Amino acid sequence: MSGSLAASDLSVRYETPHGAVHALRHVDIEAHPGEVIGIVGESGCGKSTLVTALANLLPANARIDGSISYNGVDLAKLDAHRQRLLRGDEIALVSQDPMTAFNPVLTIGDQLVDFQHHRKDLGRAQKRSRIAAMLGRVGIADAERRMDCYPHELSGGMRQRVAIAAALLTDPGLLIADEPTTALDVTMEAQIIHLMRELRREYNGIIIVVSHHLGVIAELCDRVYVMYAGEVVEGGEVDAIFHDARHPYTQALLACDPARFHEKLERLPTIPGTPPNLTQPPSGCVYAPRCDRAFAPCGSVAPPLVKLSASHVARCHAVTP
Amino acid sequence: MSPLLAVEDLSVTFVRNGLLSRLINPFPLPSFNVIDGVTLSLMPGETLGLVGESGSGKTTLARTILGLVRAAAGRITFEGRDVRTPADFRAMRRHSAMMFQDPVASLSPRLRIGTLLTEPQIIQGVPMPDRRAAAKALLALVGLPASFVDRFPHELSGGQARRVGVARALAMKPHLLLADEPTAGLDVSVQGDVLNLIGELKRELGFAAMIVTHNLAMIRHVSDRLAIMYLGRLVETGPTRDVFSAPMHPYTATLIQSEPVPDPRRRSQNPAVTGEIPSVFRRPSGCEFHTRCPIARDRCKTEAPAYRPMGADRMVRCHFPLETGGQEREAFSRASANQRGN
Repeated sequence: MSGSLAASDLSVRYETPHGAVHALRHVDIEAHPGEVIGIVGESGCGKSTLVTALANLLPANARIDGSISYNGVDLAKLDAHRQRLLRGDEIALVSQDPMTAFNPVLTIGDQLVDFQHHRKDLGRAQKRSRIAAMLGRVGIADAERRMDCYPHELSGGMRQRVAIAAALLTDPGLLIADEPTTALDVTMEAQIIHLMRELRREYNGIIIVVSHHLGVIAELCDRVYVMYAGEVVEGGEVDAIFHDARHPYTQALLACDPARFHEKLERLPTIPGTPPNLTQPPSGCVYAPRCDRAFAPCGSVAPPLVKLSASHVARCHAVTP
Repeated sequence: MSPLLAVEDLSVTFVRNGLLSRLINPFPLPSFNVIDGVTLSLMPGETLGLVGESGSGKTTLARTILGLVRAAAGRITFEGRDVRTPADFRAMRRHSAMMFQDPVASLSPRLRIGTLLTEPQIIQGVPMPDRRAAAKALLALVGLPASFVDRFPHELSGGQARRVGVARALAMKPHLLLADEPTAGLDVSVQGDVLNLIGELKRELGFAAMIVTHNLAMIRHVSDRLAIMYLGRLVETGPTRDVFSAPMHPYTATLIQSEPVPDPRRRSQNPAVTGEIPSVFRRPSGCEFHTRCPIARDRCKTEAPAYRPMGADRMVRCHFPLETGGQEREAFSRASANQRGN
């Protein structure tokens, strides 16, 4: 079963002793089966809060407003039991750190059997043969023997492959990969990107890739949402984002990436200033204090989401369709 | 001009001497060269980028140069003097500094920034009439407010902690700065900030730098020369611009090709290299890269290639280097099938 995902007017705040942190504000995103969606932004921009909200794993001090609809069901309104059923079955998460994603005292095979606990129709032997097939699919040679390994016996790249296999075993409609290559070397990163591209050919669900690495997003995604200080500031087809970025933050972020310049630069480009404090988000545009195109309304009036084309939007006073 | 730092034929050996290995092996303990025969030099004011995957020994090499890891063989010369004994290393460290990989973990959590910044002078016995003023001057050098002297490390952001790391490394006005992954974990906009700061201070104070990293996109802009490591050995060195425009070792070429490009119109087709870096405990025979090399031939499996000069200021450890216009380069492009579309 796979369906569309839509978050509309989604806000998340964390209640802390120092006041509420408005980590996510009025976020609208949508994703359809077969799409690879990229979520890109710098640390503290809310990208992890967003995917944690989608996976229903927010901590107890989080308060959600707005809706997350998946397959016509509002995830934010489900009770804990129903949420849990959905998580193992329909929604799977590949986390950033392949070192800590597994239990160190159980073999890989045992853990992957446990991941299929909701498949009451399968026996242990059947589950193990599914695992062997899936490990083969993610490029692990000698899968039968690897199932008897403990996590520490595998390299980082191999553990990340196992984590992807584990996520796919549940046949999810929504696969969320949070910084899937950040902990890996560049040669292994290229291999995991290649693997995820291969897998999507046979996979009909939604893949959401979260990364701060513009190269990974450009290599993998169909559509991209750019986040800054808890808001989606721009969204569109990957080509529009990388070749026709309209929001000043997206433009500045792209300009900062040293991978774009092949001639040696004397000074690397940066974005002056720091992101706003999210306990008191500014009333105007969140990017205005750092923006070189800010004018009168930016400081006081929150900018509208401007529709630039059928699929391209930017939240900015200075853009026009 | 004579080099500031010269490393000749340096090797570092780790011995498996845990209780268990001793019980299992009553015979001489197996030992492994994690750094093997590294020779390189650094001129005053120069920036050298030391690049390799995790497990290539680049951090160990940096630590050995400063005497934090003991070398098994080889010679280190700093400012024309041999560095052998612990006392030599102590004297050398007065004119050299290391920025460690994790900026927050390398700052003691129970000391204030002001204390942390002036510790090097205290340890080296440098007279300091006003410790607080000295700390404030260092903070100003790296563009942090003077009020930071009373802060604790946990009150800093990642970028600020890096700046404190830079300030502390420069406290003794070193002639050599060793920076281990100076931008790991930083956002791109902050990464530029830290590198620009190091660059400005380098021009102002004139020190030489060795930057250990796996980030190729970054090192291309901040280094004059590159040294590429694989399994504890140098496989290629040369001027940064030449190495990027025409890599000669297939490993260097695969590293450059593997880097994701932030342009959806130029997506890579296939990974240039498969498999993973082997363990130094089980070095492959012959050329150590042959297990992953797209153009390896029979000779590579049996005969270890020499580290030899290829033109001016260029060294390569390969039987079949990718020379411009040569058949090896063509074979490499075909084999890796990683041509990016335009």
